Amino acid sequence: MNTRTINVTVNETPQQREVSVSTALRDFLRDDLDLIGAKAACQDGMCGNCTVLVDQRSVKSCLVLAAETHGAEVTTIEGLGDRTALHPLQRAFAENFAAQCGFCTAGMILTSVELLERNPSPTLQEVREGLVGNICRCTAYVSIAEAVLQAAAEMRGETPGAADATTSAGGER
Amino acid sequence: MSIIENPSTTFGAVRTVGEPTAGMFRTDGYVGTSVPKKDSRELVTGKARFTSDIKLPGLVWGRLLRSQHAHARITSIDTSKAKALPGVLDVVTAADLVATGIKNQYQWNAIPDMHLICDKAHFVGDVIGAVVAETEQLADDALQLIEVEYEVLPHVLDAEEALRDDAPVIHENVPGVDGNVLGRHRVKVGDMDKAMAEADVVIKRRFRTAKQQATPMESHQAQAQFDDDSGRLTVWSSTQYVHGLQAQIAAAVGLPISQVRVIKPFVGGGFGHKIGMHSHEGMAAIFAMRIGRPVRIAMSREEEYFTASRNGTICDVELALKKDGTLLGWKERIIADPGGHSNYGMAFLVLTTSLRPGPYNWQALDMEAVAAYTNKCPNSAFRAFGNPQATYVRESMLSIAAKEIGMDPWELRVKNAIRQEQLPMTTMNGLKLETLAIQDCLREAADVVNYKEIQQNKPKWRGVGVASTLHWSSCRWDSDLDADSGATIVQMMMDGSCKVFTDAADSGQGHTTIFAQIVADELGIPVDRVDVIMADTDKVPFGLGTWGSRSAVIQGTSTKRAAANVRGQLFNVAAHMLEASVDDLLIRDSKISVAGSPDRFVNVADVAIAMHLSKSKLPPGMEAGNIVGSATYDTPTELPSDHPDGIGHISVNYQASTHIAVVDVDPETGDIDIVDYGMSDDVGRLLNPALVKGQLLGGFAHGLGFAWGEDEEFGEDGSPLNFDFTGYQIPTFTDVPYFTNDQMRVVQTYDPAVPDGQKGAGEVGLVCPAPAIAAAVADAIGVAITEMPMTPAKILKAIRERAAAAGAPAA
Ligand code: FES
Ligand code: FES
Repeated sequence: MNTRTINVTVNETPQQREVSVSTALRDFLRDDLDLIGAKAACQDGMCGNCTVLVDQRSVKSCLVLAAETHGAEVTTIEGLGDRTALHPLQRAFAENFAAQCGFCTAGMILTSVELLERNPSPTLQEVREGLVGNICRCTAYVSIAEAVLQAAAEMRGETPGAADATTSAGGER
Repeated sequence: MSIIENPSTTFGAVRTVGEPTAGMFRTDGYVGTSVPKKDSRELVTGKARFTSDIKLPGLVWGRLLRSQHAHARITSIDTSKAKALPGVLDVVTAADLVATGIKNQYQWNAIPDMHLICDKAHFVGDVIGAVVAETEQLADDALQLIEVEYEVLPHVLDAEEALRDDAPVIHENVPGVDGNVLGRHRVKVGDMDKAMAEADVVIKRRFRTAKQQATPMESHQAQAQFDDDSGRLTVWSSTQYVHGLQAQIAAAVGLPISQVRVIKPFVGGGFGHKIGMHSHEGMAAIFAMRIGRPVRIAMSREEEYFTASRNGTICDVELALKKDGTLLGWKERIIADPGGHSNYGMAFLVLTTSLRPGPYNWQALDMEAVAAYTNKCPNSAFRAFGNPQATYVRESMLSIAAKEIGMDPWELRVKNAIRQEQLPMTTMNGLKLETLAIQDCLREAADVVNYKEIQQNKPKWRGVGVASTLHWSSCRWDSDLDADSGATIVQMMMDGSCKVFTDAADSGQGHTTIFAQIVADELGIPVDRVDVIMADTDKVPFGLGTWGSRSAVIQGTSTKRAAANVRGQLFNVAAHMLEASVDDLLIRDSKISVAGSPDRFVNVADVAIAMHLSKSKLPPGMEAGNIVGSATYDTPTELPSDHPDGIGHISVNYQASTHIAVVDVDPETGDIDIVDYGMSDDVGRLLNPALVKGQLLGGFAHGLGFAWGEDEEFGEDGSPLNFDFTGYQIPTFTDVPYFTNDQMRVVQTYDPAVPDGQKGAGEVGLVCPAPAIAAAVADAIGVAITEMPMTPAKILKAIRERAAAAGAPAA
């Protein structure tokens, strides 16, 4: 088996590990580090359930090789917030009933972290478009959009409020 | 986290029809409020462990060998090369299982055609062998090394063709199966000749419904571990019904049920596809016993499409009605396509016919349903099982009829829908209705979209569609399962906190939270002092699990009963301590007090500790011990298959729903844009409004997929064509319209059939989107599409054909 030694910082902990050159980051995180927050719902980058942050950018970890993260900083859902304080997005997801089965939740939250990093004041439509690569089968996405908008407001220092509900029922095929 | 006290902050409006029976339930408790979902924190921190997140030391990987052909006899299967691959631990075929005394046959299946491993291929993807190896990659490699020789047989993919005399027979020598017919069900009530004779109009149409796949984000997964020393087999599975799986596995491997433990970890969506045993679960257990190592078998996304899907149907309908819109007769021949194995194919016939009349008054019903095997992926239960097809066909017919007689389609429904003053009633097909606020749902949904106004001012290519339905809250469905039960044990600890054990299997709906609310109210304790344990056969009592919109109603009621039992025990002791009568006691705010004298009270915790540790404080003769209340609940329902007319009261109560879609169709592309949408539902009493909303919306998105494009497609040779998220597209964030609270209205009823007055809510949202959107598209383009799904290509074709027929350009 063709392997490589990588140095990668995962959730602020430096790791030195030997990985197969063909191992996906997702499987490295899940199998080698027991960071099971990244979920596997497909093989081909189509669901977003495996999303993690690599150097602050959201990536589908099934499409990235573990070996490619040599020298990088990886953040998984386990690295967001801490035991005493949830990240505002985590709290907003919980408060808005945005996690039903919860299988898509980590990917949704981590994609939203990057989204809000780039655009702290997204409109509803920008949230919807920003999360289009993350599939959820349970929620119809409404509660998720509400959660992201609430977290955005809170992170901007505004009082958390209900989602802007002016645009409605405007889905496009 | 804040509790949303007022449900109308969750929905656009919550109107209530009818009053609860006096003393039916308390209204100052947690039930009725949006208590935050109890498992939220585990889910948002990523700590929640789903089946394949559980690491077992020494875990090895199983994989299933699947048939390459739609229909073939296996003439030889050589596993020697696979077995010789280093790291491969075991390889088995159907013959190997039988040779070692494994019962390679599903128990308690209406038709004995289900095997863990088949010795004949009935569809592309049928399981014909299995391997287990040290790694997933090695298991995959081993599959490639198994040499199979097939005698390819003619196959049939269309259920109607499968009924022909010259069709290839898919299952031979299976008791109860005649040719490709795995079963029939007939409903015949009222005088159809009279209905036809009195009709001003009789409309005939043929419909086809799609083979949708539930597509939970977590695919089917199982892990099994066998301990030689204790003789105990443990199975972790992403399942909805642990006791059913436990019994099936025990029967397969020949262990007593008591030696098999099935645990449901967190489940990433089930939607019906995860009921009952599947080959991967049985084979994980068998391998674990054969090789003495823990074994995982996880379905790939592709394999999901070989594992389960919705029944397809071909429906020929005749609808008889009067010019004034009065519905008279519904006559239908339904050919169901269950695919290559029976699974729930028989139950489908009974249930879909039971729901076909919908929430309307009729004078005659005549339905003949037949299920015919085809060489395709087998059917499974799937969210609203049988109703999406039934409602799509019925509501499409009603919209076509309204147009034909020149009546507004909404008015036609209002005219025929069951009215408040008819209740309580027994419908023509035997459903006993105590509450059904369908008239209110119709009005509320119309109000959301300003129905009258929008009908009068429609630009070209805009259409409006209405659909209504009636749906069950759990159901009794086939003679092999003449039960509709759930169970709960409530145990009070000595500090007054509670543990609740139930067979219900939450896969995201939030039952854990609802049951905690019910127990907290019954025992007057804070909701965060109630912990709910679910779906682990070593811990929870026997029940039928979670499916069919049942758990809030079924296990909700067994939970209420078990908690009431505990309350009775507490009152017995408190009455002694307070020197009061049991009948005068109240339980609130962690205290038991005497009604009218709030100063005379004892803390729940003091009663609890006394019952555990202080015999001297208890009534004379009472022993110290545990505080455990145990209850089951089985509904007072009937089996239509036992009735000569094929009818019966299948569900404890019934929900009502109306959806109205306003869509614009792009005549150039066939794309649909939903410009407005209103939904209104009677799902009984709202136990937790925010959770109910999540279910209704989630159902809508599933229904949108059913309407717009989800359909398993097959090549001529029976190979599946769309088995990943690129080929089989499910609605994304921007596909699903963003619903505001205003667009969702709830009509609350207090159904007296169960003590909390609730109905189910997990499925009904899926039922109306397809017919509402289909009717809106038909209204926009002037012609109804009667084959699902309504892809842009089909819409475009319909526009062009209509234009050609009219001799005009399309747009
Ligand atoms: S698992 Fe990576 S995108 Fe689906
Ligand atoms: S919450 Fe279940 S997939 Fe999103």
